[in-house]
Amino acid sequence: MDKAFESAEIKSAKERTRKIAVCIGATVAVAAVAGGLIIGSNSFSAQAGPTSEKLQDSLANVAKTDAETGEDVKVDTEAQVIKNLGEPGKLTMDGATKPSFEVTVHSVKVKKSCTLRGFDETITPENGVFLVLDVSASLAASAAKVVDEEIALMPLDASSFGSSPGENKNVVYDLNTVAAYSCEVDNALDIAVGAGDEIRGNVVLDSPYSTGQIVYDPDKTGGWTWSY
Amino acid sequence: MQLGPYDPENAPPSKYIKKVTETRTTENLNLRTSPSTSARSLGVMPKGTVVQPTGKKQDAWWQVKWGSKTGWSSSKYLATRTYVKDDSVRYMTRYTSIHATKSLNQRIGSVNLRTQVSLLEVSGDSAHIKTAYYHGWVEAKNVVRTRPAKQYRYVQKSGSIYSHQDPSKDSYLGRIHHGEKYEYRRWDGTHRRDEIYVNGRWVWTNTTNRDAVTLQYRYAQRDGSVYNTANKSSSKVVGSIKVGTKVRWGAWDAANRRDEINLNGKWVWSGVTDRGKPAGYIPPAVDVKNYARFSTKGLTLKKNPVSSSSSAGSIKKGWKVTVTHKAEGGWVRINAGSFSGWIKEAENLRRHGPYSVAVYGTLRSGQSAYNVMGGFQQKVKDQRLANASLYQLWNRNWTFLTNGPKTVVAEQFQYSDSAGPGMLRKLDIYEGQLKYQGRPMYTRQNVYLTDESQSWTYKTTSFSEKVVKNSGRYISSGDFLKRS
Repeated sequence: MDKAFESAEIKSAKERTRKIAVCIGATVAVAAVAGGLIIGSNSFSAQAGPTSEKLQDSLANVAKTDAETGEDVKVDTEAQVIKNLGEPGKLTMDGATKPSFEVTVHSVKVKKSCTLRGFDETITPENGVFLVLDVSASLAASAAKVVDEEIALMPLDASSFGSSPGENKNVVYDLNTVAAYSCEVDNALDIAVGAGDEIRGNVVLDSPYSTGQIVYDPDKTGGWTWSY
Repeated sequence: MQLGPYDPENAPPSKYIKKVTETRTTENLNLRTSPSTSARSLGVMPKGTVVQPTGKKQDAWWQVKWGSKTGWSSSKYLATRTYVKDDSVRYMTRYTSIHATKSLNQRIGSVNLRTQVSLLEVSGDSAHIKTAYYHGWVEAKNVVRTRPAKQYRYVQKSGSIYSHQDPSKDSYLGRIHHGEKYEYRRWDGTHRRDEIYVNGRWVWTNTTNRDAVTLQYRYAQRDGSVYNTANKSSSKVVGSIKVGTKVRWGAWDAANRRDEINLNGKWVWSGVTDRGKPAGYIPPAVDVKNYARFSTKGLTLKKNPVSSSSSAGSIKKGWKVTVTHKAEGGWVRINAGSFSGWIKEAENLRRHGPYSVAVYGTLRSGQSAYNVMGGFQQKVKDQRLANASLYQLWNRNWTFLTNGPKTVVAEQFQYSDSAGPGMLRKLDIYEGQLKYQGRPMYTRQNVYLTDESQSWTYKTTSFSEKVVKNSGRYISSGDFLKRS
């Protein structure tokens, strides 16, 4: 690696660390105010008792606190763990502190049209707007040991994401339209992250909502949400 | 009946048939340094290993040699047997005389090319052999271990076959015909006849030679009768032949002006055949198992498989067509959309469509991404990709074509020379975005269809096929994961 590139990398990493510190600071402040009970408008801390049985099931795999930071974990009424843009959603093995999977939505751009990839024609969304997500993700190499199949991965394509018009609103998941698939996008994200890999890139969704929340929930059993 | 001195029963024993005594291990067996189970092992001899006993024995232990090693093994697991090893089998490289002595000056009989014999002894340049009829001496160079290849002769001119090489002793056995090929074993220079194998019997003829002969054909110039002989005054009608019928030719009888022809497998004589096709001749169409090809240029189809036939329509370069029939002269009947007609196959059809793309997922007619496939000059539905399977991952919008034991329904789009290269470039970009670990999930590959044609399609690579077939999602792997 040449020096110029090395210093740019270090700078970028420092900026990222600083941003994460700010996010954590904000979360700690909110948690302190909430005292582990219902926060703001209809979001829960994980240890609070939710009302519906379905929600109870979805919350079963939510940690009470972040094993890495010790912070309270906040969920909304859709059982999604609440994150800010740039803040990672995590999967951590019972008893471990370091997450084995992390996914972060860094930014969301709203577009009314895009270029049909390869064909230089303009296409429009089927659902409303195109959302171009800047997403990063990592999966620990150890993930390979616990998956029955030969290759362990976590999906990252448009079908893994949903959107809602705002906090605690119903999430829609059919955002992986052919229009979204067909959009030309720079640095397209791989369809999945494999064990031992760390990747970043852009994913295009076809969403009814130009503002609201992005949800990453590949199994539709509860995931993470970021407001945009 | 009294046996003669050179009858095979009086042959001496062959020096190449010997009694052999052999000792083998009956189980996997240790070879030990001394005759005791506590002695160090020199190795385990696999079951069935041949060993050489030295003759030394102690109790139930034998000393044996195994390769370069000598040691002791339990005789309980060694079996010795004696058998006869026949290494005398040889073959004759040519027809040759058999002589009474190795000086080869007293002929007693003969032996044919490729005959299997038993070698009794070799002395100098002579070999003592035993055949089914004699034992005697031949030149040793004519006796080999491997059976020589069969030799053949071709009928140069239709003619007779006989029971004997000598015309004064022979009897007529039938006819052989121009161009036919027969196994050969002997040339009789005195009577200038070959010995050949016809219908399960060795016979003699003077009408064969080494050179291959191209078969000749004749065409019936008009409807007519066929006869059992050439002779006009004595022959009988044995059938009829239709104008235009193509038949193999055997001979021409100038006196009676009749051809010998093979009609429906039987040799008969006709006065209505000739070399050229009759006026208005249309070769018969032969139904073939359908297969597909692509046109190499714009083609005019003919109504019949003759150049002078009228047009049945035309097709563009690059169209996919189905071949349904063939006819003499390299003609094939093709179906292409609503058109059907005859063209010459050579240089007009090819197996691979250079701008043909087979699609199987959302790019098909009526599917969500079909509009991407615009600009084609021909589209054919219900085609099948051979040796393939389809896989889906978590995103149901994706289908991945992999190698597999089945066929996959596809639709084929043919593009013109002007649109084709650009379309392939665009599709390469369109289909190239799905990646895993930075490597594409699909690439454009040339694949076979069940109709024996080849086309481009977007298919998994060996890497992505593994991803498609062998990947599991971490999040679904167990309940030991917590979200935060």
